Amino acid sequence: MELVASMSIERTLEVSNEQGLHVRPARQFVEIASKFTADITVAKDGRQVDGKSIIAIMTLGAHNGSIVTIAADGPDAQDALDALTKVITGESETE
Amino acid sequence: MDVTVSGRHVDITPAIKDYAVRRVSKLSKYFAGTEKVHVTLNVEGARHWAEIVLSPGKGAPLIVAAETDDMYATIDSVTDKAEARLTKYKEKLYGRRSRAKQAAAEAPLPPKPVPSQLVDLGEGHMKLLDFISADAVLDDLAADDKAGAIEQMVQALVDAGQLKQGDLKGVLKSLLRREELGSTGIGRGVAVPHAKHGAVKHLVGTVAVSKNGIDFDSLDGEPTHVLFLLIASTDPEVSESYLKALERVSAVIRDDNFAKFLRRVRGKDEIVELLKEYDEAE
Repeated sequence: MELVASMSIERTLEVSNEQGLHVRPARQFVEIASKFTADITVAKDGRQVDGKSIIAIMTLGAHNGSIVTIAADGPDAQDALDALTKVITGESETE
Repeated sequence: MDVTVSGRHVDITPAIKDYAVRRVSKLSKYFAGTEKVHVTLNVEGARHWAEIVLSPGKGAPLIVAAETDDMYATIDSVTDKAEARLTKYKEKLYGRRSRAKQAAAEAPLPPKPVPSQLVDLGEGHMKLLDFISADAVLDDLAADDKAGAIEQMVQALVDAGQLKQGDLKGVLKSLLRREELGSTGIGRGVAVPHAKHGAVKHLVGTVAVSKNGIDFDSLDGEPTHVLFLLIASTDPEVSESYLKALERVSAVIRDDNFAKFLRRVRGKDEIVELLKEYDEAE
């Protein structure tokens, strides 16, 4: 019987994406998050929401400079976290 | 109180940042201690601009901004504004008290998270009807495509006196350009087309319902039946309000019943009543 190592990790970051996590970056976040099998959540000020729902993320009010915690739970958690970190820090923004 | 400052312009020296931290730290007397405060400083030509975002333990953040032609003056101004807002809200909560009583109230930590409530609702909380023009609400969109729907809604704002007819084309262009960057169809049958434009001095918006559904190229592939249109001012001090408006819209949509009810009601007045109900329910 093979056991697949499943990871549950989280990372706390400052949102340095210029518009914060609103509509467009939230959409980008969700599109990327949805590609991973891991469960993804985003938390801000004690409120945790589903990282694969753009509407849920938009309710967080994660403006530029706010602190959020992304958590990923599943076999590809590490990759998910790395990819999503880029969205939050604005590295993967294409203008 | 956790204060952070960001400012990327070369004119924003460490001395200026220190000044910002010192001034903003004085706001700590309004809080219990775990609040995060972020100050953003920016310089654009002669415009020296600052924004403070106070994030309480729970509830909406308090955002204030100020602009002058001197960064030190701006920091003073924005801190004063933040203090004025906090004082106003504190008075609402506690009523007029003598100084002694107030000092006594501040000193020991209250068991309930009262300082968080200081910025929860009231000042920071935006209501749907704060930005939706009741007169521009459309209860049965005739258009069957995205551009047509957006145009109908902008025309409704013109007819309601919120926009000039001459600005319609420009505003429409901005809205459609924004759609090209990525559809505002956020799923659950809702779309939030929005843009910033010089034609408005403050946030202007409306809501429309489409019975037949419009293809908005939504994230979940479903047709759009409810549209919230927002046009924000380009003035940085005011433009943050459109993000709060979008947050408010998202919060309301999370309620499964909201979109359902919205599609069931008949007529503009019933739509406005529904929005009022949701605003008052908070």
